[in-house]
Amino acid sequence: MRKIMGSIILCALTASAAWAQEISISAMANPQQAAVGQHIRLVVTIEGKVNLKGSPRLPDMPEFQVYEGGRSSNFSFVNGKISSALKFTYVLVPKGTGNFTIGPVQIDHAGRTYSTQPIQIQVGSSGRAVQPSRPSRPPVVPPGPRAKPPKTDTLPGTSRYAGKGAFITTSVDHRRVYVNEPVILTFRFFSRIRLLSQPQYQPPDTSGFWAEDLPPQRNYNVRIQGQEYQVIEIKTALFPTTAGKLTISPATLVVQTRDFRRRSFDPLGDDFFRDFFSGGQQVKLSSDPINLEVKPIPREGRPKEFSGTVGQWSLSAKLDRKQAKVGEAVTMEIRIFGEGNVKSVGKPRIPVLKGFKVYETVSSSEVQKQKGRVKGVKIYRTLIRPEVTGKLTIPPIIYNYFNPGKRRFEKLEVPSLSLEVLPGKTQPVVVGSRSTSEPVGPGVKVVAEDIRYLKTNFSLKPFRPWPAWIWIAGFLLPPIGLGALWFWQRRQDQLASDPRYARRLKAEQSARRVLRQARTQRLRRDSKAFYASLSQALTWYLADHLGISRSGSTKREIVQKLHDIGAEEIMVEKLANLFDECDFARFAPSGRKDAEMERQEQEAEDLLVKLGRILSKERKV
Amino acid sequence: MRRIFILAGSLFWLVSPLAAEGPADESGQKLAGARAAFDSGDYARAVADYHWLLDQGWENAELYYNLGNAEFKQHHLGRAIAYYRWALKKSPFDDDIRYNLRHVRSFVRQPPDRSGPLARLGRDLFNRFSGPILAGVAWIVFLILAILTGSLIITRGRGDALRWFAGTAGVFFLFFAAWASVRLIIEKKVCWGVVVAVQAEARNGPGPEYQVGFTVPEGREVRILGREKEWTAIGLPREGYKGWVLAQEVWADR
Repeated sequence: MRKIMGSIILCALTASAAWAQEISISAMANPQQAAVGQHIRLVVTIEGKVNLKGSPRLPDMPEFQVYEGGRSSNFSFVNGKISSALKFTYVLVPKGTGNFTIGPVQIDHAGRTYSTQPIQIQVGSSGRAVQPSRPSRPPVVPPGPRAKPPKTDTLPGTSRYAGKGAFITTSVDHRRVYVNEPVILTFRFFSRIRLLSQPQYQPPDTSGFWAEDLPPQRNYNVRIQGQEYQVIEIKTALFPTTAGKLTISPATLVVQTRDFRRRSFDPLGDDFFRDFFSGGQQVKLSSDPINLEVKPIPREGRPKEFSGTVGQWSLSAKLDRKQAKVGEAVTMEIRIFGEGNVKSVGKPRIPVLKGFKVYETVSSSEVQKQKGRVKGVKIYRTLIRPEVTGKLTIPPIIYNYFNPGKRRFEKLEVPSLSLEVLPGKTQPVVVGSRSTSEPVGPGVKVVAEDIRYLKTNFSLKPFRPWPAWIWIAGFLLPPIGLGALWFWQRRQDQLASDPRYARRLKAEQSARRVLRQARTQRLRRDSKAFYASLSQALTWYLADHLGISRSGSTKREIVQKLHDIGAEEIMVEKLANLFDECDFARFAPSGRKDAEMERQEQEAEDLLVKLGRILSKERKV
Repeated sequence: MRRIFILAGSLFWLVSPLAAEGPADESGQKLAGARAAFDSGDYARAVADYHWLLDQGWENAELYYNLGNAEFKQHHLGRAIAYYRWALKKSPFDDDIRYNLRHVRSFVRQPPDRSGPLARLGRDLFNRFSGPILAGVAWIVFLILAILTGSLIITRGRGDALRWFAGTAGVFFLFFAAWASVRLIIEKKVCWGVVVAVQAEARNGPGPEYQVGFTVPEGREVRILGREKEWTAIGLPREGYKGWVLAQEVWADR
């Protein structure tokens, strides 16, 4: 946007330079609606040359009493240029009511006559307030090379600004576009007042667009509702980059003008010094925002290899030579030219080139901006090297793009290209490769050997060798497992061959299980079942150890066996008593106390432990 | 067998806490940048990017392989061979690494092999697999042998076929165990390296004051016999030469 700003300045300077060759004369009456006897100030301004001789010729004004208000010269710095003006002030006093016309004020300069536009004055009766109106300043357009103005009042958005001294507008050529379809944004600065300094332009925010300025700026005059404006016009091409509702924000322009608010009516006053030193009034002009509807590229009918390019394009392709030797570099140039966003033209798909080694593609673009349009060419150059002799063919190149004007996808195609490849003096030398023509199998012929490509399909994981303990464990665990298996097998064999041994091994386990059952029954206060279990645990344990039948063993037999192996008398007696108590409790009508049952259970467990020791000792003996 | 190794490696990886680690974003970008640099012909930048990744701890076979490619494209045959060798140590069954290593080696002039075909075949076969690979094979055979022995124990030695298989497995186990042991000992004792200088000058002693005895071209694989300060003793087994070269001119495998 700096370019635009610079362009405005350049444009203003250029216009000033052109006008400096001529003079312009303008007249301004204030007020234009007055009462009889009220003073009307008529100021005739001559700009461009100050060394004028004589005074302007006033028309005949019989309806007014005319007084000369004096002459002043005025210097101003506008748009970086020093300009000068002569002002002739007259005071008109209407003599009667009615609508009067002040005819053209004329002045002769360099053999030519310059004149102002007529001014309408409305005079009411004396003592009646007359509505003040804005002063008119109809500029005189001197003959010269200036831009041809558009038709009056046809510029968009200007009607509501009619009467203002300066204003800006922005407009677009259309509001419904496709993505990447150009929109021409036009900025216009209208002015009919004198500026005291360079205007400060803030272009609109065009986020969501790819912008291309469209020089040169135009300068012309237009008449809006009877008032002549100088117009500076700047165009910008915008290419929306995304679909949806997009907004072009307002443009702003800060101008420095004379401060009309502080001016008091003084028909004889000369505001030269006041204007020069006061700096004037700063006014910020703003345009309206513009909403656009950006449509996405249609999916319907979209070719599979759509390039993403939008506009109106043509395609051409060529090789930089028709004949080459093996290994020589050949450039294939593909040009896509037409109208649209040149810089965003997508890369054409290069078909598989058999017999060639294809290197990277580089691109360049040339943009032309003519008559408010963006045109140009995008060039893709690809370096290829023939690797085999003979007539090599590059298949047709196909390019698909979207034409927003026709609202359809279009296909461009370049016919196949051919290259005559001759044998080279030396074999093709490719970095790190070696050419060969040896057949390696039926139908397979190696053209050039090279290293294989990079590994791309892998995740970044650090290499971790297996730790030593895995190896040690891997070699130790199988022998340990085998040893355990051997021992287990041996035990199984021993148990199978010696049933008494097997019973003895499991005696304590089964007795403990029955004792746990007895405890449960005690807690349920089932005394009969408790004593039955207690008796059973003792009987089974001793029967398994003594090698007698579980079911057929009696208290008497067990006690006898214990005597035989030399068990302590007291312990045997305890056992016999416990058996008796169990039998008694099982068949007695009354229930037993909990404490007694618990004692008997504990006694049974002690007996099992002690008898187990005696029996183990006896077995060893 | 390769699948078994991959499967075993994957299982180990799954249970390893390292499996939870993923490549950091920056590392991923660096990896992509290295590839882009390689594709655009900026091999030096690709090498720098791969080295950056190695410095971050992402040391694996693929990175060494890609480094080898980037060095080879810069005509650094010695460095390429060194990187391919290191990659092969981490991924012994990778066909791409073997292919590229063979291709790059073909650019290096090798001394004539005067040994007979049988001896060459035996040597190639012996060196075909590394010590850890052979140890892995021996372990698998050992596992089979253990299963067969366990079956014999359960069946109380019944079944002639089972006994025959167990005996065969035992023989195989002894064979691979012996092979692996020798290879591991050799790998432990013998160190190899690659000449990365364009032409390394081997002197008769570890210092510039010693006379140059012979020169070794870039890419030649040599035995590392010892180190002393900034000098490395190398040996050329086929020619029977020994000498001292500057340490930075030879990249050792470890």
